[in-house]
Amino acid sequence: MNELLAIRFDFDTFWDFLFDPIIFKGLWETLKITTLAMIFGVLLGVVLAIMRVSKNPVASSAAGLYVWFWRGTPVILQLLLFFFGLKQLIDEDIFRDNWTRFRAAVIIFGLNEAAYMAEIGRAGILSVESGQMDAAKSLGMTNLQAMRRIILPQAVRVMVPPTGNEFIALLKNTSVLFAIGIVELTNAAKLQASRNFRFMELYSVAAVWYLMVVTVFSIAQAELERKLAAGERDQPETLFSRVIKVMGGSRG
Amino acid sequence: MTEAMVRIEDAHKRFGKLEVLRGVTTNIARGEVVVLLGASGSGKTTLLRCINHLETLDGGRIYVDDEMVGYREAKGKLVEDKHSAIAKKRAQIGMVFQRFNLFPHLTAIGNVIEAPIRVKKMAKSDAEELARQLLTKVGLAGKMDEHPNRLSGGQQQRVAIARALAMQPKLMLFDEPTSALDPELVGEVLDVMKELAAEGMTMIVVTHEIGFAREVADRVVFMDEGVVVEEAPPLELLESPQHERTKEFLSRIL
Amino acid sequence: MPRVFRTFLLLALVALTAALVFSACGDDDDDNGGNGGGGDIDISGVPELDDGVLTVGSEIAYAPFEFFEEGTETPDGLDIDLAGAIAAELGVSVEFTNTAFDGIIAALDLEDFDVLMSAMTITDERSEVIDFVPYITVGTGIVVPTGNPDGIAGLDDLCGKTVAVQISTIQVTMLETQNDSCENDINIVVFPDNPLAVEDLRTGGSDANFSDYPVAFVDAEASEGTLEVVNTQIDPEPYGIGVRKASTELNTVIAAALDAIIADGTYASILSDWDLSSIALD
Repeated sequence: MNELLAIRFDFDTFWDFLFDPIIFKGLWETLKITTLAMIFGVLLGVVLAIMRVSKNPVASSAAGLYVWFWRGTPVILQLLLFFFGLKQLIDEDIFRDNWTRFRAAVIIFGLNEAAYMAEIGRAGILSVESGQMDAAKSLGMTNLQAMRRIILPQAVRVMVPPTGNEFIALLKNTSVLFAIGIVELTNAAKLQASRNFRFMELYSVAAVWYLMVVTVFSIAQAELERKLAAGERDQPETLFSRVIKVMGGSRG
Repeated sequence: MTEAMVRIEDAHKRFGKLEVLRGVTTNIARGEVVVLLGASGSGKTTLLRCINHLETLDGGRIYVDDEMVGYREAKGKLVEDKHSAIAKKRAQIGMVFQRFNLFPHLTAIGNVIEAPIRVKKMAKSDAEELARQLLTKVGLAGKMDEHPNRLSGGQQQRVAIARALAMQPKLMLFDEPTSALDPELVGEVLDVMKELAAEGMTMIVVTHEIGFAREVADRVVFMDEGVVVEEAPPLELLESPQHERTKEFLSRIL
Repeated sequence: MPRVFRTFLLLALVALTAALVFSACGDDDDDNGGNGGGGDIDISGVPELDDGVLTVGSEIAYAPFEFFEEGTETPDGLDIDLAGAIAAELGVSVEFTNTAFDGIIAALDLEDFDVLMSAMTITDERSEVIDFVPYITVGTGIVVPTGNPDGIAGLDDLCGKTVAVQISTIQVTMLETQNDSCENDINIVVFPDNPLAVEDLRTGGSDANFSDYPVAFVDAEASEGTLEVVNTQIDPEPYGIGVRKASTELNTVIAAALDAIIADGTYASILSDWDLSSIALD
């Protein structure tokens, strides 16, 4: 069996490149950009969500317009438009020198992500029953106080699974950054493959690392969901908590 | 400064095409305990929610302690007040809901101290002290650190009452406080409400608990189809109702 | 009710099948070149040409070698014309398939097409995987902003600069080799295709673009005066028509056809039409 596979799949190449520094550099780029863009996107997204559910028509429509544009165009197009396109329009050294590939990547992906997070946030807020707002208001809280202290903490619980999804999607979408000259994990593998023509082996290396990241992330997400369920009767079992139990520790 | 804590003058409220309040007029005096009675759809809950501006008015005026909640006079017309002003007025009116509406992510004591700290800017230690007193008063000294999901319905409603009282309101509104409770838990909540009444709190209570009305209410107001049909001290209204509709309603529930 | 539904389902299935069948026929791009009796080369022993069509894989984004006529889906370029002449000589028609340059060798290996002709330089590494029939000789060119602000005259001047290139090209390797003798490393920025690399240069993200000389020349021409090409060709090397190692018969007939069109002057005339006589095979 090994012989059959070995004819077409060179395991040596695979193992060599699995821990190759250039691959790691690409992986690190992917992680950096994804994390920063995600943080930006979540923060901006929550603000947009609050604007969307607000009774103020200006706030609500402004946020609606934002979501319409950033959700309605492909991210690759947004990158080309706002990286190359903007630099074409603004022929000033100050701008061009500071609008670097990396910063553009984080900001554009962040703006894109915020549009999706706005909708997730909106769904989360709407999922909190209206009685909660009634109670908060009747105690004399302003809308903003009620949002921050009562509604959002409850909305967050509902928002975690779809937000986790968004992170994973963003992680994989970063491969389009090659169009603006950023070599992340997928294209680091591609670059190496273009030299040694070992496409299958190198694409497998990239796949392995994506899977590793997503797996670690999923475990973390499950733990977060568990913590947020503190005030509930049924505490979800996670892989992590089961492992702890088996190892003799006590975890609820 | 009048004797009336709450003045309701010709209140009108519409939901779309449906007119729910069709000209409600009544006063509630300081320290009075008034029970609002009526069939579902009579507008009693809506009226309650208009008092603290959880619902807007389409006509008429409501004054709490001589001030309108949610509106102010501008050039002879009524305009909706600023959000911060509305919040301030609401802080002086406590409300207890049919479904408790406790904040599930906070403990019992957490629920009670939240508004005093955020709204009245009370120091945390002072708020906690106040909360402990109130929770003990409603009989929940041993449950302060529990989350709402670990409390029975009756316990949750008592926390809700303590939470409302923590803001030291002038007026307490109760929207069917025991309707969602199992029968054996109703008593403990009614006991707390009785004590509150005895202490002189102005209370407006929407309820079906006739026993409570008989024992504690100073006046029963019967509403039907968006208007006040009849109002009188409980024994009078319950034993010898004047209007047909009152008689009809009472015959169904008594 | 179910009857109506079933009928509808059947019709939908038929329509879907028809659509699939018709889309499968008439794939790909243009049909270029002649059919029937060009010359006297015997192609009976060439399995790839049994269907009477020479399929050519190429990344049609590299003027003047292969590009799409403005606003159309018709391929044009030096490679297209040369391929057409070779096919005519063999008495078959020619079809170009647009394929990403990075991965084109793998695609050839997987028999997506008969040969590849994509302005590909013959290198030792590539020759380990496929065979080549050399057909022109091309060097590399450096494109810079008009006025040459960084004063770049040759490869050595690229040290410490940011240079935009396309993935899988020899230019990447050339720059990496140059880096060995550089004090300050060249910041090599890689792009999926050359037009994006040029765009990066145009918008100030890079100091120079490094590509095949004729391409660099055309890009500078088309830049409305914003870009210019430095000097002359660096290290001219032969380009090859790529053939699978197993396709020995095909290799033979193509080489023969190329010889024929060189001999009868067709080759020279095509090159001259494109102003590229300088890159003729020597």
